[in-house]
Amino acid sequence: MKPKTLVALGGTLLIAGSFWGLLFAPAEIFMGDVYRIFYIHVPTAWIGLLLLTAAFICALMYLLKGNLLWDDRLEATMEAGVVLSALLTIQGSIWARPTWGVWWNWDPRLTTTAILVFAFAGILALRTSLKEPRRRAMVSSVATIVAAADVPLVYFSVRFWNSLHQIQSSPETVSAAFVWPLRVNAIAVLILMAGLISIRAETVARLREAGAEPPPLDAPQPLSANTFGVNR
Amino acid sequence: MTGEIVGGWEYVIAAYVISALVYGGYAYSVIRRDNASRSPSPSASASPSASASKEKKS
Repeated sequence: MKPKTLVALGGTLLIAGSFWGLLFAPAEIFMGDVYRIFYIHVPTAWIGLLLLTAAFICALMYLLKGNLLWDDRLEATMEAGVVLSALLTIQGSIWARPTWGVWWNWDPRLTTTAILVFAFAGILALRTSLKEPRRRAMVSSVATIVAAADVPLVYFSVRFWNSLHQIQSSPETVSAAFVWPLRVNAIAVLILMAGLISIRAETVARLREAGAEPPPLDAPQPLSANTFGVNR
Repeated sequence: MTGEIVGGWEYVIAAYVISALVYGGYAYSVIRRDNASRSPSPSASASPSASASKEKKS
């Protein structure tokens, strides 16, 4: 399936799942209608963490294989992962206000998520300052592997520490009346991001190939007219 | 105090509007940057290699 078709399909499913959750799913017994944020918040969290895990795998693959295509994929997945993680923090803050009474709390889940956003956004910023593709790929792969240590911390923070945040939601922990819009939205975000990452990885590769990538060290260097001091 | 939250639709709407803007904005940004990378830049056509190939053809 073409990436743009995936984007269109994912976007349509996301709209359908969101309307299902907003208009047709029943209200929750304690949180009333506020809980409906969960239909967009939880899929954003799942796919955001999944993408940053994928970025970690791309970094590892670059270090093992040395193929710059893995670096292109790394940039595409990391960029999408940072966007989703930042959105996740905003959605969580909006949900926290009516349920916890505050917009922000230095709770372990929130703190580790904020560290995640800043760490990966920092790596993306660092990449813009490195012009040589191999050096950029090497530095960002190592930095990604270090930053990815925070991904399991975010996921398990609600179990490791005493947290205001509830434990992880999954279809098993959610009542049958609520679960289908959640599944639809999770699949929708996954399809949407798969399409966008495919497009972005292709763009990054195209820009890299058009840029000043140095030839391999064993390749013959072309001679210019001025190599021998000849002024023609 | 029952512990139940009453109302709160304004928060729900805010969360969905911001999510729509971020998802839509990011999709637009990715597609726009992709289109921009496909269109030939003026500097590419003025590069020494491009002018050299033009000279060979003529």
